[in-house]
Amino acid sequence: MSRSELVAALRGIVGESQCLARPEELLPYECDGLTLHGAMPSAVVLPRDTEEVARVVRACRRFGVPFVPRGAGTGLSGGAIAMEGGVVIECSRLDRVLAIDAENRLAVVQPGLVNAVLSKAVAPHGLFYAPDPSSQAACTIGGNVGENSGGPHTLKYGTTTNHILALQMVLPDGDVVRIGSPTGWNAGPDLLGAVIGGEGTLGIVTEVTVRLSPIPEAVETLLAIFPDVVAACRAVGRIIRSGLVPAALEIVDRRTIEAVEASVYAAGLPRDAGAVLLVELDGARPAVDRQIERIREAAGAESASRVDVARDAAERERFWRARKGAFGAMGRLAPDLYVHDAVVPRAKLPEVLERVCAIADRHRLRLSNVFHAGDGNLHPNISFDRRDADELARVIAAGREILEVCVAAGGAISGEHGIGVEKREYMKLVYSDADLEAMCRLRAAFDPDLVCNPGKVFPTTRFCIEANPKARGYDGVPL
Amino acid sequence: MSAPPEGPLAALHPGTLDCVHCGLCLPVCPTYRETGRETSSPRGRIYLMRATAEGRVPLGDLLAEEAYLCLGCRACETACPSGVRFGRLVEATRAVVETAGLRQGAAKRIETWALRELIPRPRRLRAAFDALRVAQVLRLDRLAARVLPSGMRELAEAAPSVPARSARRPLPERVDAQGERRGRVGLFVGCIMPELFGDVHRATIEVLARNGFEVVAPRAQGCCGALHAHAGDPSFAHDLARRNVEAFRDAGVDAIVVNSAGCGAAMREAGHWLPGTGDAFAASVRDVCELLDEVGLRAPTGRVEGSVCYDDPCHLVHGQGVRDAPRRLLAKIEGLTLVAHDDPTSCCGAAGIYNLTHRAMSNAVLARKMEALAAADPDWIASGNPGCLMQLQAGVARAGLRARVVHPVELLARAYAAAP
Amino acid sequence: MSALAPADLDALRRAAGEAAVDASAAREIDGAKLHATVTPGDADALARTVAALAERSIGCVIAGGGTRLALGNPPRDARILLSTRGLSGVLELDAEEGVARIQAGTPLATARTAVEEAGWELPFDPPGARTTLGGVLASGAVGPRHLGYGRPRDLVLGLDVVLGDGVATRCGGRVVKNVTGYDLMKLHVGACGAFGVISAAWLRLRPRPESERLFAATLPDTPDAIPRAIAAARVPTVRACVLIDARIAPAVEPRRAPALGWLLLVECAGDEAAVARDALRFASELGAEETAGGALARARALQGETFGSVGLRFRLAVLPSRLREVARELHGAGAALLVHPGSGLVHARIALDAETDGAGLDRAWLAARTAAQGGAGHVVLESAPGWAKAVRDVFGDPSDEWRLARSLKSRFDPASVLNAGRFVGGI
Repeated sequence: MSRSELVAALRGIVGESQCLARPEELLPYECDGLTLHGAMPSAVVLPRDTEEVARVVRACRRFGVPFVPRGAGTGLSGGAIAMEGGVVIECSRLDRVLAIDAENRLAVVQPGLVNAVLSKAVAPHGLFYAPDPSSQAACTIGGNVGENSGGPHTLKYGTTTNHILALQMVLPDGDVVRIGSPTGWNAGPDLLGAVIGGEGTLGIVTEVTVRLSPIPEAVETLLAIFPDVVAACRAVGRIIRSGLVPAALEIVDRRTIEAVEASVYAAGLPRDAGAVLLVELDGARPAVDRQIERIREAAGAESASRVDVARDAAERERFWRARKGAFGAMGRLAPDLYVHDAVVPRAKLPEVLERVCAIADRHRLRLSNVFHAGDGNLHPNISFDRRDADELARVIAAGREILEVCVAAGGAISGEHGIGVEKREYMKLVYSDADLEAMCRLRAAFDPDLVCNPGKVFPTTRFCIEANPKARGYDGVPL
Repeated sequence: MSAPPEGPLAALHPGTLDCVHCGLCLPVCPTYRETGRETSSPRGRIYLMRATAEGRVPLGDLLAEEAYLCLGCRACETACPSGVRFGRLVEATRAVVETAGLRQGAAKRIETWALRELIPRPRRLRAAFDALRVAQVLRLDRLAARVLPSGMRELAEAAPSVPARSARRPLPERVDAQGERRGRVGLFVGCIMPELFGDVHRATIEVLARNGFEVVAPRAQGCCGALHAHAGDPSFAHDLARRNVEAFRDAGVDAIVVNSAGCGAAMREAGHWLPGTGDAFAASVRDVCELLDEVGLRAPTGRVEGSVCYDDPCHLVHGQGVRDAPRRLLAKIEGLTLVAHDDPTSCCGAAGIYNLTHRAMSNAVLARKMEALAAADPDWIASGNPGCLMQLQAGVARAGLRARVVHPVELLARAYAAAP
Repeated sequence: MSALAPADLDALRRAAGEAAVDASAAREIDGAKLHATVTPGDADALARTVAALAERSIGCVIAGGGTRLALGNPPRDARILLSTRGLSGVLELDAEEGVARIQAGTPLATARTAVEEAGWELPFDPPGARTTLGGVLASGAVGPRHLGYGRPRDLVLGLDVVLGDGVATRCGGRVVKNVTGYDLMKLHVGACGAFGVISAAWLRLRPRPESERLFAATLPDTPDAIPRAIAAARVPTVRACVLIDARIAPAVEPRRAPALGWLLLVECAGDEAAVARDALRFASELGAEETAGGALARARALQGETFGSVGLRFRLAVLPSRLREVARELHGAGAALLVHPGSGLVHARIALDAETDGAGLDRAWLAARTAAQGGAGHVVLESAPGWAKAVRDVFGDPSDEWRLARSLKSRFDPASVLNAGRFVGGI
């Protein structure tokens, strides 16, 4: 069976205009938010409902072609790229809120719905959707489910897996199943937990029932300036040990502050600030008011030069700009930006950061650090130019060393972005062969033929990918 | 491994490198919202531009299609954390597409003729509108709509209703300031505005005068060239800009006031189009709401009753960064309540002549806008761009809303006129 | 099933240790006769033991404190009891971060003491004095404070699990945010040991609250009783909220139990000022009075009570907005209810007229399933006499998930030796 037959079959399912097959049309789909890895798909389809997704999956099976779901393509681990010349199932047309049940604090949505749009849609009911990754203005709920996305509020609110009640999905054999329950309790195995964070390798999610949270009574945002990152981290330690669970604890280091203040995102921070800590508190009014004082105490005990409380929404936004502008500011320094993602036990942050900076210096790379201090999730960002082969090699080498340092400190190689293609080989830093083989058993129960998003999560040497990847369909132009 | 860029797109290649591929532009892009296709998003288009510049794919139809499917609203620029100048990239791409002759056909030829031979020539343009006016009065347009093939019918339906000649009388060349004098400004009149929106110009002059400005409208000025730049004809646009630079240079004005967002955005590009000669001109351009907000509006004392939704013209909010000033001015009108509607900064689908060249997409985008406005159900809809005004008027008629569509200065003028 | 061959016992002794195998007395669980109890002393011994079971096709029933054995269908082909009591103790406790690594056979009471000494709180409070951590995780059992603590699956950061073929594996880690590979922890939590034996878990601990106060109120049997209870449960500092049928309330609060209607217990925990504010609110809106902490413990015990050979205890999970109809349906079948209005859990106790009252069982099931369907949820028969379990799968009606569960079982426990027959669909 040939590619043109595949395309014809797909067109028969989704319609001519919803199946992309010209090389130039496929080109922008060769990568997602991570530009270092790319693979050309055979075709891209944009189905409009579950039925079409199921039929596409069955067609792909008939043709022996793998497939991969894609949301907005903002992922940073290459999870949405089609390996082995697979078909990209673009879910952006399944983008509606199907039902809001405010009384039971849940909503039923389609996977292509943008995260921020969901929170906006339920706000009139005094509710919001808690997992809010930094890309929430663009990323989709389906993508969030695949990666078990987090964001700055996970310390208090948890990640996506704590906010999904049920799913409808198309299994790799084309069957449509429902897992989970709107009640939030299972009467069987917790398959939801397995699928969330499954990185799109266990099936294609076509409907999601989400748990909504009540908008807190009071929200306060504080900005504290410290002489250095170690002091800021120690302040965070005091805060957490004292029993407080702030909604967000973000730290931005000196290098980032310099970049931000030199850019159009300048938030008015003192240029010589060693580190900035952004704290968000939410909850009952009397509790929040008292917590502000405790934050001040903790910050003061670690030599904070200043602790400001945002007086209104505009000022709160200005504080957050210091954190959110980091990405853009670093992005302007060079054509490419590598946003790393790793986790360490919180207490180990200062020493790990020091070693991360040393690694970047040794490899002569421009690095800045932004991190979710409360849960130990670091994002070392490296500005570089991928056309400089030598610099690219140094970026990759530095990446590996950073992950090794994090694992040695008792951490994990991904806090939010997932493994995807990017970190497949590093799985062995964390897990034994037996551990990885156990994961393969889960995969095999859903996808014994490895047709659903192959080439992700597991190392290419051995394990699930020993079914040798054959190049099928269109042979992509290499990056 | 990709080759270093050469060929016609080489010049815009460095601009494409600013993109870090984050995807934050996708949700604000009208064409991505309608199609869900990466190729019809700013990020996807940049990727294609870059790949074409690097020789990975030949310059072809898809890039040409997408370059023109883009509305040029530049909402992506506002959302972009990396400062990508997408508007410029798309215009540069269109220029390359034209030079390569990738757009052919009768429609293209008519468009080129209209842009070069009709729009920048006031007398011809007037004659054309006179003819259109006659046709409309005699309802020939409706007859034509019935007999024409569907594509042309839509064009006929989209034609704006031309006001009577009396409303299209020439503007005064100079108007004195009222009250304490704050300065002298030049009014940019443009090409379409005097024919279809003469009232807006008169309202503009009135409001400026009442706010202490002497207003002059140099006769030597002409079309701003925005439509030409957007149609991949930059050299023609630059020539038009040069003419305006000269026309205003000797006018001795403190600012050049524009009430058409599309024109204002283009005029602010003069420094880029005409390096050196255009800088001072570009720096002196102000949108009328921007200027009044800057100097402090002399609040009108009359009342204008009702609710108003202010809908941001793309080239004002994204193209010039002016968002709150018009709202602040409207808030100063007694009796008028500013009502928010969903997504005011998203495009209405007018996009210059886009609503003629890409009717389906334009209508889809407009439908979303009208849904938001219908939910707010205001008495007035205010927008500071003629193209948007026409599009919104068409949308209001189609959706059966009761709102009246006006330029913000028209509401200010009403308020001044209603002074007790 | 037939008794164990001497060769089998030898193999088990070699795997688990001489002293670890006790074949002196047999036990019976739901009709399955278990000829020996094997208690490995550490994780390696556990792995070897399970490998031996798989190799020799010896099915086991897994138990820690034995408090959760009631949950599940009758065991199939089980011949020994695999005890986790030998894997007891806190392995690591990070007081800085608030995480701990605790072995599965550790009684919760022991774990709780250790964690509290370090200044944190163990976020589990299921009924059952001898419950071990493994028991809580494998059964997904919850107590009244689950409302504030979260569900067990939300609190596990990492697991050490021995799979059904004896392979020792690890999943997750010790950090609170982790997306490194699949979340296998969720698969094992609540799976009743079907896919593996948990040997240790990394847990996320909770901070000790500054203030803890318990309140009791009575609600008349009016249509707004349950909505008022739901509203109470949703107040931010509420950590536990239990609504108890008047009929069974005397066991919880003898002095305050109403003759009709409901007894409502609400526990607040957290910031002192916030809790004080909520206390005033409960006093004025519900007429609630502060009461001693013993009431909550009694409610917890009541929730977990079994009553021998004539009692059924169903656990329903329904949408809170449907609780009223659900309660009505169940009351109609003669059930006494203990409800968690904040999370939609209903424990319904139905007494049968006699042992082997098949018709009564059918009626009870019908009411439970009807109520569950009406509540957009499901029902599990948590506790019942052995004969009743043989009649119908205790986990209710089959769903899409059961098919996938079978596929998972065949891969994680190919020899089907771990708690075979007990979980959904008899896997």
